[in-house]
Amino acid sequence: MITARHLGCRRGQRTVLTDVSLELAAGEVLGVLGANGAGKSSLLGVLAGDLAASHGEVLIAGRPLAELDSAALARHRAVLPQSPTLSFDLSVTEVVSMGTYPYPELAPSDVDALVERALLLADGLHFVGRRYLQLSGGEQQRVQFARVVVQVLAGKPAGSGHCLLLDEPTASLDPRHQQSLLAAAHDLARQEQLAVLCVLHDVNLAARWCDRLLLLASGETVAYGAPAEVLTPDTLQQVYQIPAAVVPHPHDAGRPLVLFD
Amino acid sequence: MSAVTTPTISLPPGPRWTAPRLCAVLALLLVATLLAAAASGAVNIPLSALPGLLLGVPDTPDGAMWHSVLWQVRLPRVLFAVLVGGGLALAGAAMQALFRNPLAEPGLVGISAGGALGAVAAIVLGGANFTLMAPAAFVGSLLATLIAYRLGRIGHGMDSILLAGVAINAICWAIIGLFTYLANDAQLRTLTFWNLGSLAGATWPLLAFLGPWTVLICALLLRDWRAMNALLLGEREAHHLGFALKPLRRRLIVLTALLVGPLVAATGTIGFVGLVVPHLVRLVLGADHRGLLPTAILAGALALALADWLARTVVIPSELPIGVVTSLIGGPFFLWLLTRGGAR
Repeated sequence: MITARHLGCRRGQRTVLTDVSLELAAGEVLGVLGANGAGKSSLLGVLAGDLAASHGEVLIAGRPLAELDSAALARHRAVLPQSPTLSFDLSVTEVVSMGTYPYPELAPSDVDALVERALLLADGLHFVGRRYLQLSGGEQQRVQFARVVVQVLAGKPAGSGHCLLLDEPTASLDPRHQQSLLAAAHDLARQEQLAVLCVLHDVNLAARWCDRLLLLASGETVAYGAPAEVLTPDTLQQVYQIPAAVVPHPHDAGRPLVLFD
Repeated sequence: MSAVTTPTISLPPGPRWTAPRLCAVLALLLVATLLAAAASGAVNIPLSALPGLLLGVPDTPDGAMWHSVLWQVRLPRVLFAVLVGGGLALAGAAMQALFRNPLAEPGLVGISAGGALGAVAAIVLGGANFTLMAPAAFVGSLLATLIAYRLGRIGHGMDSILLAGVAINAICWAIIGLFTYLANDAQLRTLTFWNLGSLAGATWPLLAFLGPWTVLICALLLRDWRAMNALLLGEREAHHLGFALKPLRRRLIVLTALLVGPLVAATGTIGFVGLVVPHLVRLVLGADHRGLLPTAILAGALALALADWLARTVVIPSELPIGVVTSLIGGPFFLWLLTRGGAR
């Protein structure tokens, strides 16, 4: 669904990505991990079409990213950026229904159904009728998640809308909603054959909900594969510069549990 | 600038108006205001005579005179107020969305200052030639906007366009000051009058040109309500939702200049309508542009029709410049809103 080959990216004089390749298939969740400034958001920016790659190429649904204009791109992928900054007075449903803007042909009843479904997935159905600015930061984050879920689901009947790019979607959420948001993303990937890429800081959340992980350090790939293969004391030391122990998870022996010292 | 949190005013939570209902109320108020404004002035026409006069000439001694006052003077003037008020308010709403700043207005990118400079240059250099003033104002407003946009694009995004606009405004007002210094007494009077704004230039031929033009540009701007909503989320988010930023910015700025330029050229500078009216509508309806844009047009039309009615009637037989009325009422009203305790 998304193929990136030998990506390089420069921001001003600084090289932020060097030779990063990844393959993200339909129905799969890929987690991107790394320290602050490791290039996670730059990678997401290049895949979203916000930043131009200086090397390599990105294919979305088999077509080069550079060939797709904004409108076409919006029908192929939805992006949840870090820390949204909406300071205007809109209702929750108005914000969520913006996800249907790439599909102006949708009937109002379809829009309503999508909004309701997405808010249910984001545990935000009880926000209906409230103003966005009256919600807490974590609640706003869930509303924004619902908005991108709407965008990615709205294209299903048209045969588009397959990729969901999430930049630290759990940053301001409580533990329960961290789990439920990633569970929702995971289930959507499976049921709707979406390709989900998720930048995360919590290593154990990533191990729990991602099929594969990409570890970045200084813009380069440190490890790329299944969580159990990727999360080792060596790679974690390399990525985060602190010692870490990796033990089998008490509830699921196949899953690694990372303990930082 | 977009990252800076600007003070906004909020209403206490409660039952909200819907856009259709508010539009209906505003439309009724507008019609009532237009009828009342058309009837009053130096020559007072009884309201009971209005229906007859609108349909034909009644056979009363005063009928012929009322008929000519109504059709030659009052009707073009109140319709002009609708056109200018609606256009300025819509342009303000579009600029506030584009800059993601509730304090933005068309003047920000040099539209008003450029128009004023063009008009003043025509007055002083062209010897108070009125046929030259309107085209010069129009060209001035377009040129100033274009320069601000061009220079701003070299930098990064809307912030640098805004800063370029500030500089263009300063330069324009400085040159206007220079012309003021050079002007003779007669030119100075015209110049002052123009700077304060007036709807006295309303004639049917002017309306026949400005009417369709304004309606066309308004319709084009109304079509962009989705893009304006998306811009509220952020420029990056608007791109993610499928709106190509550069063409969108260019379209909104050019449409605003094409909308406001001719209006400023025909009326002079009329302050505060473009800033306050969208702000007020947003207070009542929220920021969803689907309802905000059409409601702002109606509210702007109503505001300017009321202001012009006042401007014409408080000092009969003379009249006040309408820019003075809008700023004199709009300014304190805005301050009252800010200090009412609802400010965040």
